[in-house]
Amino acid sequence: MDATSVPAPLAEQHLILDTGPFRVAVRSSDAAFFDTLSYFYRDCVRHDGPHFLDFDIRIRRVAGLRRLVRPQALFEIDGLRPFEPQPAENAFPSYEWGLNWCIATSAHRYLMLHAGTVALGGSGMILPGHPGSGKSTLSAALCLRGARLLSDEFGLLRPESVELLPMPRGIPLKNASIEAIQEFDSAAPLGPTYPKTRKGRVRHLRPDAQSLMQQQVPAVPRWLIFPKYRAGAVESLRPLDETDAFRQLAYNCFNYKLLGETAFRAVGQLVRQMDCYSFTFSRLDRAVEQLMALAAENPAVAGVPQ
Amino acid sequence: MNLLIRFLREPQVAADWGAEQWNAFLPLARSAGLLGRCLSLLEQHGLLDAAPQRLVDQLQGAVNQTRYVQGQAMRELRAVAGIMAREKVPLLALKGVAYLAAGLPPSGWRNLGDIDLLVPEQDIDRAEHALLAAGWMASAEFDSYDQHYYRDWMHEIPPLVHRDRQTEVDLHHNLAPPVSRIRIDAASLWEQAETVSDAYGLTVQVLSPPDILLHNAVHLFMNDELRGGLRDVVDFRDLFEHFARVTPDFEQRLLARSRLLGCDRPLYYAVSTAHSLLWLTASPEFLAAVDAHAPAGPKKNLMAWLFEQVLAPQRLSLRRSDLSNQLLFVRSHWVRMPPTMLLRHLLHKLFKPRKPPLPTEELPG
Amino acid sequence: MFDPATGETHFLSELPALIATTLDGEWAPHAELVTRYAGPVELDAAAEAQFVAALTSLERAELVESRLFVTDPGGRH
Repeated sequence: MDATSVPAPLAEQHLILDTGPFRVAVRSSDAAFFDTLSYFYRDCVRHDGPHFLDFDIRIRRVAGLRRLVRPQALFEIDGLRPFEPQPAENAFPSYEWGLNWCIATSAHRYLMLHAGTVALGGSGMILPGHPGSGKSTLSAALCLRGARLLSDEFGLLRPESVELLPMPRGIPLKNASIEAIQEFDSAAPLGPTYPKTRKGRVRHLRPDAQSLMQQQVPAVPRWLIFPKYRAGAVESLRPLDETDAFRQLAYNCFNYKLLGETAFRAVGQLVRQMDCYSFTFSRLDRAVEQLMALAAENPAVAGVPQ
Repeated sequence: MNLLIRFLREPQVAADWGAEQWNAFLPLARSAGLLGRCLSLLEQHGLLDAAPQRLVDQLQGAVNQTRYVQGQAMRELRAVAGIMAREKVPLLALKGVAYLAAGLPPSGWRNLGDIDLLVPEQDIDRAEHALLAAGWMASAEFDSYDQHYYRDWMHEIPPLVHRDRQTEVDLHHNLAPPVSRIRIDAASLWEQAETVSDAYGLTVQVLSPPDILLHNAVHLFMNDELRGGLRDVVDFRDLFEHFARVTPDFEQRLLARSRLLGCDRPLYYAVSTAHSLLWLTASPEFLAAVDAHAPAGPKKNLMAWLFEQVLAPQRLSLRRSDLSNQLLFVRSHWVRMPPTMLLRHLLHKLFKPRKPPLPTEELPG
Repeated sequence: MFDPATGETHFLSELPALIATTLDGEWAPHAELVTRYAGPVELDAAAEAQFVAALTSLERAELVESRLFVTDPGGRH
């Protein structure tokens, strides 16, 4: 990285916020970036201190190599710069993806799933899937209908208790999903548009106040749903047997091999205690309806909004 | 003196730490590869409650990762040992994987990237061919210069990896390159070696306790770069103190062995560094005997200063640390190779096309 | 099935699963194993082939080990 640091004319701002189990410091002299952070996470900021931090992140604004290159944002953690600089206007998505990287590479105290996770009452719904399976969009829609957001992408579980831990953050919606969510709920609170990220056009759905307030309250996993978006398909839930569910869940657990026997036992426990389904869908509104109906069948789920 | 060094010397200092100290401590421990060691020190000294729960969770995450790489290293060792047993090639495990196989204290926390193994010089070609025939392959593209460097100067074959797995295997036939000033009699290592086995049918040899320490010393102080070396100094201290506890007359045996194998200078560096940085516990007689092999006059202080700059920097990524690394890099190659060879090697390294930078990782989201 | 020696998780169908969980850890020739598992039932060639296939898949997964034993003139293996 040869980009030279231009001494910032503005003072560096600094805040500390809680995101689920992690406490993060964010520093930057980029005022626009801080405004966006505040839009999403004002409720999570800690004003007391001093605090032990999981991650001390700096988003550095640097001048490009040649005068023709526009300013860039550089993600820095512990003085390391793991990524190529991004255009300065993409500071917020860079921060979000950088934070994901920090968690993915260090949080092996937890079982980590590629999954959207939401809670209905005290019970958790896990929606595993690769990028493009529709899990983020489904999670977003479920939350707009009253489910509590745990995470749109990063299912975090304590392996010893298989409890789901919340980490409610802005949900990145890509390309057509943005319109799908706006159609689903015209009042959906969306952040700024980032037209040119490496994932395409991105806007983030702001987590609701309730989800943020309960971000230290775990959920007990109850439903395991493998979503598959298929254009024009009729929404259908198909029960999965334990072995298939185990295989697919392990496949979607990105530290499964690393956690060895602990992961083996945790995944086994999860497929035994959850109702497991594969779920094909094409229309967001019908999909949410079906999933909410599934949750309502369970008498243990209290206070599920209809 | 940075917080990590203070903690490693005397873990109890952490009982009074506040958020600020823990925040400074974690990145130092991570960069030195010592997260697992620090967790076990916190446990041993009853400090788990004094440390922030979040910190303990991070350390636990690191230990989970370590357990995995340890398991994979042992798996690889078993696979290689099976082939060598079939070929009747004696096999000896070195460094991290040896600590695991022998159940030595570092097996509780030590990370490792690859496995280092020793076979007799006359068997190394046969061993290599047997591994290649059984599914191992070269771990990277090695040009003829690299091949020459590894085989003729370093006495090892270029690293191998099995096509179905990721753990690299480094096969050596001696501990220090023959072109360096240190000439170790490999036959003597084998003579003193001990046999260990595990619950899954592994049988392998490991160096005798004094030789384990001498290898650590030679490897660390006659190496290309000291960077990351604080972990090796911690290993030296932990292993020395362990052997001194369980083996009678260990200090005498170590001194005698060092004299026999011609490792007195690296032993001096290892002991003096472990003593000054990490407060290694040893008898005054032992320390004096080792000190007799220090380099003369100003070089002694210069080397101590250089090692400290590299191993215990005040903050991460300090420029002075880079300069010290460069001096040490030149020095360690000078130790390894005669000057004419050194120049040729450094020139080749300078002009070799650099590997392309790592692609940005695919992140969730 | 989780194998702590390799850290791998295996999904076994019925016959390999039965064999893997009931082998007693002693070396035994093929023929003896077949009769042990078949019991009083006579196995036809197809069934025996299935048995051998199960053993082979277990070996590929590193869950069982096989070795070639040669009887020397002294009658020892």
